[in-house]
This record gives sequence, structure tokens and C-alpha cells, in this order.
Amino acid sequence: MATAVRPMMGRGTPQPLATAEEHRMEDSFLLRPFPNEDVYFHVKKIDNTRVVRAADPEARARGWKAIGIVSIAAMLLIGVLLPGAYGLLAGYQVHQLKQEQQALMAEQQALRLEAELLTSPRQLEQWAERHGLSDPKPEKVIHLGTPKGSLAYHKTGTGN
Amino acid sequence: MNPKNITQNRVRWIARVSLLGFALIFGRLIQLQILDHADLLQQARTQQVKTVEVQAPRGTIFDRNGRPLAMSVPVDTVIVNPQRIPDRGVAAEILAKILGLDQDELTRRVETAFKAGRGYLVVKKHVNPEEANRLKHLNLEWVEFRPGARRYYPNGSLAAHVVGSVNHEQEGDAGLEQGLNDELQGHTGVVRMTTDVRRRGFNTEIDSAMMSGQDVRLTIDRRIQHVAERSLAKAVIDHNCKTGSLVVMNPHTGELLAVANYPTFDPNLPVQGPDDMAGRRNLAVVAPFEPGSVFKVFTIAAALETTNLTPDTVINCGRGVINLFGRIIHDHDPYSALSMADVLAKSSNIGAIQVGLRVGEQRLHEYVKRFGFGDQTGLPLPAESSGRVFRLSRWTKSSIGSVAMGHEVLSTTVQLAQGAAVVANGGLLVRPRITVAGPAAGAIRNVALVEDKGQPVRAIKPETAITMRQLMEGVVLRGTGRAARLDGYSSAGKTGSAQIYDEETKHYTHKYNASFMGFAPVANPALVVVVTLNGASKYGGAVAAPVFREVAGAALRILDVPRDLPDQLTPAAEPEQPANDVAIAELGRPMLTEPIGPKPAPPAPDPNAPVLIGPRVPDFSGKTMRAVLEESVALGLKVRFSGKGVARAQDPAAGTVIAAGEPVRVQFAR
Repeated sequence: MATAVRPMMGRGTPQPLATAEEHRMEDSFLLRPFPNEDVYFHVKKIDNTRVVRAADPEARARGWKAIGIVSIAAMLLIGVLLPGAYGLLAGYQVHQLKQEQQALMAEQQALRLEAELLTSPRQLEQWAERHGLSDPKPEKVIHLGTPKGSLAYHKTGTGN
Repeated sequence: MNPKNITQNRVRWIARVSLLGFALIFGRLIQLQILDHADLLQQARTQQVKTVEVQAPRGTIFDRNGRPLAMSVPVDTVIVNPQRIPDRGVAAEILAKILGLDQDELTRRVETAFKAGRGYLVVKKHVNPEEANRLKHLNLEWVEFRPGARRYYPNGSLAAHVVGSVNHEQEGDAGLEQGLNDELQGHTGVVRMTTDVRRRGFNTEIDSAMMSGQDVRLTIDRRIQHVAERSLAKAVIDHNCKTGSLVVMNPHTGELLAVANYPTFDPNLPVQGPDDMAGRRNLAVVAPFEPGSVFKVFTIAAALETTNLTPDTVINCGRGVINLFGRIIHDHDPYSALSMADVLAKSSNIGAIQVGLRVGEQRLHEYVKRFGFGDQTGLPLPAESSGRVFRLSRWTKSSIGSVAMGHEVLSTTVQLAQGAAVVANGGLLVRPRITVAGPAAGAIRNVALVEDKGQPVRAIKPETAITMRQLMEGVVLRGTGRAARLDGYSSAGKTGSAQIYDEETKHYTHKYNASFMGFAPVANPALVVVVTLNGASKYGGAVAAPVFREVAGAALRILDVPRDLPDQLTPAAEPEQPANDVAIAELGRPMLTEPIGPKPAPPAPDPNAPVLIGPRVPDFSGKTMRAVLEESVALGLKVRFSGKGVARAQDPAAGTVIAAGEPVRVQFAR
């Protein structure tokens, strides 16, 4: 990056090559210096021992305030967006449940139809004939007490 | 250049480029959000929002016990988009295998639709749930399922004429399906469903709410209906009749417990043509006929109310001939004189005419109307006939004689049941009804209340009704309706045999509308049964009364009505009676010079039968204890009595030759 920046610096920039040339002239057996060696290997000693951080008693408060504002903003944002998200998810769920309900109702109707087909009077009559069953004659029916809603006025004989 | 200037220059350029970029974005936003907003919104809705029609489930029709007679089952219609099918041959193979279709035929259809550029092809309508599930599990994106419903009649032809049927658009085209179509059908709803990219719905907005069809609960009892249809069909076939109809009704509430017709049809099958459509008419409601002798009940009821005639009043029957305003009328049997009770029991035409003449035209017309004839009953069944009762101004001089014995009037089977119910319930005209309020046991929705019959109207006095019951019981005990006697129950009724008019030859034929109109038990009737057989060669007492016996007996047992006759003595099997009750039809036609109706040949005696010597047991049925005692003493019979009232049963049977000293047991009951 430093090399890339260098051509952009213009004429006013210092010439570190002069120092390297001088160094090479002193001893010809020395290796040729790296490009911008003085830049890369230059160590500037900075003494910060005398630097004293200025006391800022409101910094902590500002930090907490910022955290609070961001948290509240985040919560508000979530609060605003959450119902919509829940609504979306619930919409999917409701739609799925509706489909399931329709399928179950269709199945229920189909089963009810099947049950009715199997218990239709004609079907029952055929099965009864196969098993030698028939309607009882009136004298074979014994009424245990007068049934609710019965219309006959009087009862005669036995069994009525 | 000063480095500071260079930096500022660069910042300016960056700012300009950024501004330009934002300007472009902003411009695009204006284009999208304002200029093209409507078009884009429409496109988005087309992609995301699906308009779905929600079919209203058609209401279920229940019988009175909550058993469904007609129900709709959701079914799917399978549709494909031929343009999206990757391999049409394979697709046809899959679909044909699952849906049970002919593969070659389906391949041809798919190819034809593809070449025609169609994106919509109905593969099969109304697929059953099993087929639909198998196809759905394949997740084929080019297959679409359109929801619908199919009407099923689980009991087949049971009560088919009452329930009716629906056409291919699921709209009623016969019976109650047609008469109550608005209540049953409901209203289709429209919803807008928002879908995601996978076409999964997540939001639904209702444009118009769906309203389910209302359930209808009928008064029909499917067990009684089944017995009625079975007995009617057997009678029609056995006696080579053309058609038949039968009505079972509760006389107190007017509830129709069974309405049967023959021939019948299976409403599960589509209409095959005009003839098939005609066969779906409810004859008991739409087909009026001349009722014949059953109408004598109403003539005599009018006489009891408006004249000083009583059941014991002797009516001159003129030895079977009467000259009515220049027309000579013959009776079926040459009676010289009969009590009014016997006029009904023996169904004397001359006697009925004499009674009608005593009542008078105006009062007879009034009473015929009081019994509900000539007016629709108000059942919610399509094309109900009102029958026909001519205005008095249209009556000829001899009309009173015709009406008195059931001619020159037209009545439906339901109207006859309504009239008989007046006698059975103590004199009130109760309109018949086919629907009942209140939810059925199997109903999940509210039941439609579709009939409001109002309050019953008094037609005749209660004492007249009770007298008529006794007279009608006499018909069964000693008259033309002996075949209508029930095991374990008292019964009353009237037979009828009206000649059928041939429109082509313009003459009455020797085919009859054989009918029986009765009720049981006599003391407090639980039901009225009317049987009509069209085109019978025999009389009503011979062909229609046995149907009454079978249906009424079964219905009383099903309804759990306690018996009013003793258990021990089964009524003796009666020898077949000629039961000739033919009402002379051609009263208003050229005069008849000879009795109508074939006389049944007397049975040839069996030369090999053993000859018994001893007293022959008379018929005690319907007689009082005193009369039985007198008759038995005169014959030297030893009789054992039990019970009170009139003789209901006897053992041995009437006509049996018994050994001297052998007792005869006679059971009396009220």
C-alpha cells in the first residue's frame, strides 16, 4: 500500500533512496537494500508516558444511553415487525389447517356415505334373508309397558 | 496541485457519482411506485393473489330418524395443463392407471389438447377420494384438483320420488331437491387467497361469504318407506298394473311417513331422456284420478252431518237399478235395500246415489271441498295437482250421482289420505306435511323450516267422525275390505275400483284404479294408509287391501303402537271375497244396460274332498255379544266368550264344519 501511495504523493515527498545509496557506497559487499527499506524498517519511538487521558465523567453515561437507545429501537422494531411475522406464520398454519379440515370433512362424509350404503334397508333385508331372519309377527312382539307417545286407547290380552 | 485540493476534488467526484446513483434509484422508484404503480400492482396480484370460489355444501336430506336420504360428498375434478406435461405418453399412462381410464383414449385427448395449444384439459370429473389421494401424493405440478361435490343417495331408489334428484350442475330437477332447491343449495362464496412463490396460501380475504345449504328433515320413516315400496312393487307386478302409489300418514299431525310410487328410479343415475324424466314424477302427488267407491265415505259423512240419516236407516237400492234423470244405472250386485252402514260395507252404488240425492248438490259439493278435495295440499313438491272438483254451475243433473260414488271428481292419493285423516283424527282437516322442524340426530347444521301448515280446520263433527270410523270398520269386518284385516290391530277402511277412461277410444275400460283407503287402530288411529293401483284387472278389495294389510301391520309394529286385539286368536283366514265395489263410471256417458265388471267365476268344487257332517260355524266378526249368543243358540253351537265389545276373532274360522258339541271360541274387543 505504501508503494502504491508513493507515486501519488508528488514532488514534495522526501527521498529516502539517498540514505541507502550512501550506505551502499560505504561497503560494496553489503546487500542491496530493500525498496523502501527505510519506510518498512523505520521505527519511530513515541513516548506516551507523558500523555494523560483527559477525565470525561459523562462518557459512561453516554455509552449506556446509546446502548439503551439502540436496545429500545431494536425492541420497537421487533415489536412492530413481530406481529406481522407471527401473522404470516399463522397464515401458513391456518391455511394448512383449513386444508386438513376440508380433507377430514371429506373423509368423514365419504365414511358416512359408506356406512349408510351398508345399512340401507334393502341391504339389511338381503343380509337378513341370508341368515334366515324375518320381521316378527305382531303376536310375537311383547310391549313392556306402554311406550311413550303410543296412541292406542286400550290394552287387551297379554303382553300389551 | 495542493494535496488538499486533490482530496477535495476527489471527494467532489465521489459525491457527484453518488448523487447521480441516488438520483437514478430515486427515478426508478418514482417509475415503479408512481408511474407504473397500477400495472405492477395488477401483475403482482395476478401472481400472488388467487381468487377461489368456495362451493357451498348442499344440505343433507334426512329422514325423521336422522338417517340421510341424500347427501353431498366433496370430490375433486382432475385437470391437467397439456403444455406443461414433460412427457405426455407417460403422463397419460400414470393418469389412466390411477383414475381407471382408457390409456389410449386419454393419450389421444392429451395430444389433441396439446396440439390445439390448450392449457386446460379435464381428465376426470368427480374422482373418488382414494384416487385423488393417490394422485396428490405424486406431487405432479401439471396436475390440478378442482374441488366440487357430488350428490349421493345412499338408499338408492328408496323414497326417490320424494327426495328427487339433481342435474349435472348439482341443481334439483325432481322431488324435494327441486322443490326446496333454494334452501338446500346455499350460496357460493368467493375468497382472495394470497400465495407465496410456491403457491402456498398464507392469507385469505373473503369477498363474499359462503352460506352452506340448509339441511332438511323429512317426516318420512325410511323403514316404513321400504316396506311400502316393497309391498307396492310386489302388488303392481303380481297384478299386472301399470303404476301404483301409496301414502302412509299420521292423521293427527299430517306427517307423511311414507310416499311410495311404482315404477321407481335410482336418483344416483342421471336422467336418460324425456321418458326417464317422466318416470320421476311423484304419482301420489301429481297424478289425479277418479277415486271411485272410496269417495262414498265422504258422501255418507256429509249425509250424517246434513240429513237425518243414520247408519241404521234403510236405503232403497232398487234391486240394483235406478233411473237417474233419465239414465238407468245398474249396481254391481242387485241389492233391494241396505242399511246405510251396509251401503258403505257392500259399496252399493245405488245406495250411495240415494244417499247423495238426500244430501243435495250444494251440501255435497261443500263437504267434498271441506275434506280438502280440489285444493292443493301445499306440499313443497313440484307440480302438485289440486285434483278437480267442478264448480256447482258445471254440474249436470246426474253429477250428484257420479260424485256420490267418486266419479266426475279427480283426487290424488295424498288428497285421499288427507280426507281419510279427517275421519281418523276426529273431524279435523290437517294438511299433510313432508318436512319437520328441529335438527335430525345426524345433522350438523340447522334444519330448514319450510312448511307452515297453519292450524287444523274442523271439517266434520267429532261424533260424525266416530260414527264413520265404525262404518268403515264394518267394511273391513263384513264388507268388501276383508283382506285389510290386520293381525293384532283393529282396522277400518274403504275399497274402491274406478274404471279407467281411455282417451283414445273415449270409453271407460275394464281396467280399474283399484284403491284402498284405511286407518288403524280404529279406536285412536295411529296412521292412515291409502293404496292406489292403476290398471288393475281386479277390484280394490282384492288387490289394494292386502297391500294395506301388509304396510299398516308393519308400520304399526315399527311405530311401536300397542295392539288392541288379543294375541291368542289370530283372525281366521277369510275365503277370497269377490269384493265387487266397482263404481259405475259411465254415469255421464251413454247408459249402461248391463252390470259393469267381470263376475269372478265361482270356484269349482273338489269332487275328492271329504264331506263333513255337522254345524257350520257362522261369521261372528263385528257382531255384538248378544247377536252372537242368539245366532249360536239358534244353530246349537257351544260358544266360549272372552273380552268385551264386538267379536274380533273366532276359532274355528267362519265356514268351518265342526263336530257336534265342539266349542267355538270368540274373542270380543272394543
